[in-house]
Amino acid sequence: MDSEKLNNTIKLVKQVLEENKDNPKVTEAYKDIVKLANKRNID
Amino acid sequence: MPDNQLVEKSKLTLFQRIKKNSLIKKISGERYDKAPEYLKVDPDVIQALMAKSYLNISHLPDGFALEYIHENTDIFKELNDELQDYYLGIKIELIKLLPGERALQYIDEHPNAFKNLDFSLQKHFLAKKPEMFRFLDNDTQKRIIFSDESYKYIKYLPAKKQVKYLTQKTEDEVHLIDGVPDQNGINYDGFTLKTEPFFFSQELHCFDENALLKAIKLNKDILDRGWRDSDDSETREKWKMIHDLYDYVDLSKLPQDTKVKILTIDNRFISKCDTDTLIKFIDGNPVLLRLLPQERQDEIIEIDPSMNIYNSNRDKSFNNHVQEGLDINSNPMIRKVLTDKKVLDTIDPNRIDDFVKNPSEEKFKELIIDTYGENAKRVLESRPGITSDIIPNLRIFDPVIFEEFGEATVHNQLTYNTKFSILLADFADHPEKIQEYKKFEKLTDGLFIQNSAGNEEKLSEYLRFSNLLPLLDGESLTTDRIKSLRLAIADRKIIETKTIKLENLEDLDMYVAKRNKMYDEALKKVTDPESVKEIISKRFFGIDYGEKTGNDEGIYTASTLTMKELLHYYSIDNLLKDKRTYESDLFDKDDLDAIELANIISKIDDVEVLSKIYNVLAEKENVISPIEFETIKQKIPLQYSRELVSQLLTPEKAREKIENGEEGIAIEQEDGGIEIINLTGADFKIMMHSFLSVGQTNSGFRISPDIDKSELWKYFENGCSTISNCVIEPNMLNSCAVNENVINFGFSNIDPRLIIGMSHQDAHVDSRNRSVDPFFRFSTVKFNYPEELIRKTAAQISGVEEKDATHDYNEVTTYRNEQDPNKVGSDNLGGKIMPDYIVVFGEITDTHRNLAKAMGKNGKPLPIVKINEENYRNNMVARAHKKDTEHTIVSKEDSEFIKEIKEINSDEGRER
Repeated sequence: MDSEKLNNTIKLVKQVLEENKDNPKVTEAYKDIVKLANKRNID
Repeated sequence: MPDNQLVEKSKLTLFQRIKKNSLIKKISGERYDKAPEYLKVDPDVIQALMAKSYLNISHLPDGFALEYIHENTDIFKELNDELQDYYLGIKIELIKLLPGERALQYIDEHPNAFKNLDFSLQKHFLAKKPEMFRFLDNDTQKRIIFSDESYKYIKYLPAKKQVKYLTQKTEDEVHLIDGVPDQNGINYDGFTLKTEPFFFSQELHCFDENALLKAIKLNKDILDRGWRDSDDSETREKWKMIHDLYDYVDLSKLPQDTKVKILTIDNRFISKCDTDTLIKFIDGNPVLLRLLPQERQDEIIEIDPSMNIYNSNRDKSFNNHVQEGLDINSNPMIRKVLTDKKVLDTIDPNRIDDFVKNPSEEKFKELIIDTYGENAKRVLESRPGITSDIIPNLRIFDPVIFEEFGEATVHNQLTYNTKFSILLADFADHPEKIQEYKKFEKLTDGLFIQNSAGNEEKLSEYLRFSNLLPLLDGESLTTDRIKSLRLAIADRKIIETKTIKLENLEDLDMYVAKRNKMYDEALKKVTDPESVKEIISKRFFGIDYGEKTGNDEGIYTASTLTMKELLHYYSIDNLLKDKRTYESDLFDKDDLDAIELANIISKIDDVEVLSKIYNVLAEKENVISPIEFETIKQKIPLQYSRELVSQLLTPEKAREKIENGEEGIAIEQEDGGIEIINLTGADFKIMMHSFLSVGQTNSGFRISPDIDKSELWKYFENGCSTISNCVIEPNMLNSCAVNENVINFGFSNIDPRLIIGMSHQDAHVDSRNRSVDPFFRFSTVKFNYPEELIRKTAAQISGVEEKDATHDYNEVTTYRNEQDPNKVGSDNLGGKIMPDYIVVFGEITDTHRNLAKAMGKNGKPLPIVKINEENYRNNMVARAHKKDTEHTIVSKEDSEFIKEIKEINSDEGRER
């Protein structure tokens, strides 16, 4: 797996989920992506 | 002003009229070019210009030139080639005005223009230049072949398509853009095209020879394996479909050389050939005369009396046998020998004659050994259970196959029913093709699972790209093209991307853009979250998203996994909560995070959010792609398997436990050197296969009491390709058979890669004989770490969780043969998996002892593990509530301090 590509992907997905974090259909996924991004030191 | 617009004759001023008259009087091309616009478009001026010379047409604006040609059609063919080409580039319909030869020349030089002609013109030119058929779009091609019944154009279709028509049923929607009437004058927008091989039985002469021969080879393989009697309805149907084709086939319109080549591949067609062809066929191999019906033999002998020595009428009893040999259902042994040129070139004709007259398994093998030498001998002698019906063809024994692919590959063709064996036969005949295949292997490294099933997948993909591969060489083999090829292969399970044409370098260069555009378009049409996830999963992870439906519903194989199935079958939530996952050397951090990302996306249920995710990822190039995800998929089940195997009791671990003073385990040596490991209370985990000592097996084989079980295990070759095992431990001893007619084989020193299925209930593994890619039914597969496997087994047996109504045990399924080529050879029965010990509940009998000696390794008998049941509980209710905590990752919220507080609170609660 290419680290840079994975980081970019996670970052982009996180940005979208962040814009919609109050949406109940997205909340759980948002929390998980934040954890994942933090684990990888992605802003 | 547009140069093709009619200009109203407006009133000219006096001055303008004088200028016009002056121009007309002294008209020439050069003067016309310098004239003002209002005069250039004046019809009188144009008429004067053209009256001067038709060659002045080159000075006219294009629109006026075309209009002039339209009104004076004769001049077009008088123009020079350059001018004609110029105007044809603007209006291809002008080609109608050219003489036949000139028109054909233009089409030849501009094949892309052919596509733009209207349908009637295309058909007109096809009559003269049928090879232009290739330049038509797919729908027009099908329309011409099938709607107009012009089968002669079939040979211009891609070879793969032709082979498909002769070997499979097909169904296509054909769209007619212009709704032009067909030959019956019927006007419609399209039709559904369904074909099966039988349709082409009278049209074989319309196929390209190579495609025809390829199809015959493939069909022969199906007929030889006698799938007519298969339990599987799909394979029976396929057999019947090909059988029908052959019953009605007409070879009479084929060239003689082609017919001879067909007979060389499959002499079932003998009865369909004329005498001259048969003479050519048996030329150099007169013993083949015996394959012919008597009247055909008589015809040939009349032409050439010296052939009489081969006349089967010399022996009346053999004559019946020859007749039987012509029957499509006859003994395949004779066909395999008589269609192998190397055997016929090497072996004395009298010996072959004797074999044909009185075939036997022994003679068959001797012919192979005497033709192909020591390698073949070693392989065949190591597997005495191999019979002629199992050997797919004799070319697999060719020295070039041993040299280029290894002895393990030859063994695997005997272990499984494979399509790869057909390709190997082709490689033996054409060794120059091997390097091309090896090039493909190198280009696609890592994209296929490293086992026999993976090889079959690789073969399919190799054939899919066989036209493209030779073009990828030297300078044309660029980094971008390699990436595109690898992506196309990583996409192979996605039906939509498989329709993208990939036959030349241009196609390959366009692949990424075309596939991405296809997904972009698909997104615009969907309105529910699951469908968006489907598109995201396909584009970025290379697999379908949702569970399989229709005939494939509930089916699991590693190679056809969808994203939702992966998350379920591989217990991803549990995988990502277990410390062992992160401590494993199998994954790197990126692998696990990619899995987690897929898991996160699967939890989102909002179509707009998901669409936004797709769009932001689609805009960027530097995001994950299917190539990366392919290898991760393969690692997940292996992680579980490795952990399971590491926990299994081995004789070495048993000795260690005793040395460490563990209670409840002891070892004694019996006379005869058998080691008995007595379990009377020590913990253990055992994976065992219960082997019926009498009764019917899943392979349909009936075991009688007097059959030698060790010989059966070692040498039986026609059974299912898997071993179904149960995992037991002190709290749960349920396995699939506990009566007296069972022998239990324990497997502990087993390669984890051999585990292909796991379930806390019966895994419903496919039990077709010699299947190279066994599948699992009814969505029962569930890979887990061993603790969870055991817990869920107990839970389902006791009904605490969903119960398997008919089975009280779990299943761990392994291949029956090694998959690592380094572990497959003639010194270990082609890699057959052997047990590590025998497991006995209750008393050890002489049957156990004899089996332990017969199945021994390295001169020592197998150990016997005796489980003293009275010392163990079979208390699944208690077990069912016990979740594994030792390996679970503690979440950040549950810090040690918090846990302590919780404990204090709960203690206080109890005290109150």
